[in-house]
Amino acid sequence: MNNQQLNAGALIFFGVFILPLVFNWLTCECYKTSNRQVVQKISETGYINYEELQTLLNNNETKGFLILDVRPHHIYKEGHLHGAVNVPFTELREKQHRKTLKTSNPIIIYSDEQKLSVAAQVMLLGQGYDGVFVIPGGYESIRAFAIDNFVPARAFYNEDKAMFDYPRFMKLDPVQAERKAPGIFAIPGAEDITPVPGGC
Amino acid sequence: MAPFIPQGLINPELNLFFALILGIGFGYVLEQAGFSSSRKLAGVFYGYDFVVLRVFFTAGVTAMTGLLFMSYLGWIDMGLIYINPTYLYSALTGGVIMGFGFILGGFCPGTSFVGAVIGKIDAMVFIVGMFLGIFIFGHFYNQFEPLYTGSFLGNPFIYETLGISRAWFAFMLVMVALIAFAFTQMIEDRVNKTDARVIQQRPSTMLPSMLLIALMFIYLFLPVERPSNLREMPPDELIEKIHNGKAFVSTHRVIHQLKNHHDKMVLIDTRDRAAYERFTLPGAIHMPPGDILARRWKAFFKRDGRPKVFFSHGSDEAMVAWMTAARAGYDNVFLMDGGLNAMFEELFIRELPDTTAYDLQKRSTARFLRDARTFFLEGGAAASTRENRPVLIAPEQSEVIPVIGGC
Repeated sequence: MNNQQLNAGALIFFGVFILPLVFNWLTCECYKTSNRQVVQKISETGYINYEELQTLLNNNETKGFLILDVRPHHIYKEGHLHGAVNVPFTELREKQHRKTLKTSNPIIIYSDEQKLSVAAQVMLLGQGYDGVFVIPGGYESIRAFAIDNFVPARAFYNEDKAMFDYPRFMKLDPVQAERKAPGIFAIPGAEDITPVPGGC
Repeated sequence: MAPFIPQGLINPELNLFFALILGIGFGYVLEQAGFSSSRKLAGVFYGYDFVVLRVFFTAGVTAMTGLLFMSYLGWIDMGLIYINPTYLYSALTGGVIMGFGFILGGFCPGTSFVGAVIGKIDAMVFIVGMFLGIFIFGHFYNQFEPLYTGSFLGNPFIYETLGISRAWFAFMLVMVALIAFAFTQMIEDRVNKTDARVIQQRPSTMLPSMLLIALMFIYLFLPVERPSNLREMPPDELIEKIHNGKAFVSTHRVIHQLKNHHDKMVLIDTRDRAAYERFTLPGAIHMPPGDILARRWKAFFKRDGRPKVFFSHGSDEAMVAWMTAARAGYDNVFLMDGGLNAMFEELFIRELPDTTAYDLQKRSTARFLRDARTFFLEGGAAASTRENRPVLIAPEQSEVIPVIGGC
C-alpha cells in the first residue's frame, strides 16, 4: 500500500462518520435532550403541589423561580399569578422568548389546563432546560385553592389522580357483572351492600 | 438499523452463509498480511516482527471507532452486539494455553487454517493438536467445568471498572495504540538492523493517525446519546398538533368502541402497573411512558396500522406518552382527552342531557350517553372484556437475541 492509498483510506473512514455528524447537526438539532432522557427527567421532576406553592408565595421565595404562564396573551392580561411571565404554549420555541427562558432558576409552569402545562414541561425538558415543574390544575383552581384561599383538602390536588372507583361503575369481571350494578348515585369507593334475606 | 440478522432484516437461516463469506474474507486478509507464516507470527515474541500486534490493534481500534460513531448516529444497536461473558479463571487459563501454543506452534486458531489452506504442514499439525485439545476438553468437561465456569463476572467493561467514561477510555486506547505502533516499529528496526533508506521510504502514517485522534477527540465532546435524529417529529409540529387538537381523541369515540365491541383503536393504559391491574378499559394494553421507546414495542408501533390511543387517570401521563411516541416518529398515535376521569364523569356522574332536546346534535349525544350508561352499568363491558381480550401482549424481554460470534 503506498502513501496515497493509505491517506485516501483514512480520509474515507474519517468522512464516513464526520459528514453524517455535520449533516445531523445542520439539519435536525431540534432537541437538546434525547427522548429517553426527557421521559426519565419527567419521572424525576413532576409537580409543585398547592401547599408548596403556598409556602413559596408566603415566604416570598418565588424570586428564585421563573413562573411561566403558558396561556395566550389576552387571557394572561385578564389575570395571572404574581410575578408570572407569559410565554404562550404555541410560542415556546420562538426566538423572542429565548432570553426569558434562559435562566438558571427552576421553571414552574401553569396554564388553563393541566395537560397543557405538562406538554409545555415535556417541550422545555426536550429543549435542554432542567428543573421544570408543573402546578397541577388550571389557573382558576390554582387561584381558588392555593392563592386566594388555601384549602388544605386540596393541597395535593392533581387532575391525573383517580377521581372515581372505576371498577364499581364498569364491571369487567363477568362474575361481578352478573351481580346488580351499582346505582348511578353510589358512593365511589364504598363497599357493596348485600341485603340479608329474612323477616318475621 | 444494524445488526441486521438479530433485528430480522436478514433471514437468520442465512447466518451461516454470511459467516462463510466473512470467514473467507477474513482468511484472505490474514493470508495477505502474511499470517500464514509461523515465523511472522512468532516474531512478535522475539522482537523481529510486530505485524501481528499492529494488525490486531488496528482492527480493534478501527472497529471500536466505527462502533462508537455508528451507535451514536443510530446506525447500530449496541444492545444487540454480543459481548463474550467473562469467566475469570477460564480466561486466564485459556490465555496462558493460547500464548504457550502460539510460541510453540507459531499459529493461533484462525491463522492455522490459513496456513493449512496454502499447504503448510506445520499448520496442519497445529490443527490436529487443536482438535486433540478440543476432544480432551469435551471428554473431561465435567472435571474442567469448575474451572471453565469459575468466577463469572458477567459482561464488565474496562472503562466501568476503571471508573472513567467510555469516550475517555476510547481516546486513551487510540493513543496507546498509536504509541505502541511507533514503539514496536522502533524495536523491530533495531532488532532487524533496518537500513535508514528503507525506513525513509515507508508510507507515512501521520495523516491517518491525526484523523483517528481527531475523530476520538470529537467523540469526547459528543453527548452520551444523540439528542435528536431525522426520524423524530420536530417540536413545532408537536406543539401544532396539541394546539389544534389533532393529538386528541374524544372520550365519546372510546366509549363508542367499547360499547360496540370494536377493535379499531388500540387502547394503551399508561398508568402504573397496580392501577392497571385494578382496573383498565376492556382490551387495553399496559405501557407506561418509560416503556414506549423499548425495543419490544417498536414493531407494534411501526407495523400495527390501527390508531393507538393513550389514556391515564387524567391526561398527564397520556400526554407524556403521546409526546414521547409522536416525537419518536410513531404515526397514528393519540391520547384520550381528559382520560378516565373525564370519561367516567360524563358517563356516570354528570346529569344526563335532555334526550328530547330540539337540537338534533344535543339529542343524539344525550341518547348516546344514556345508552352507554345503561350498557356499562348492566355489565356490558364484561362481555366486551371476554370478546375483546388484549389484542397483543408484548414480551417482557426482547425477542431479539444477539448473535453469538467472535474470533
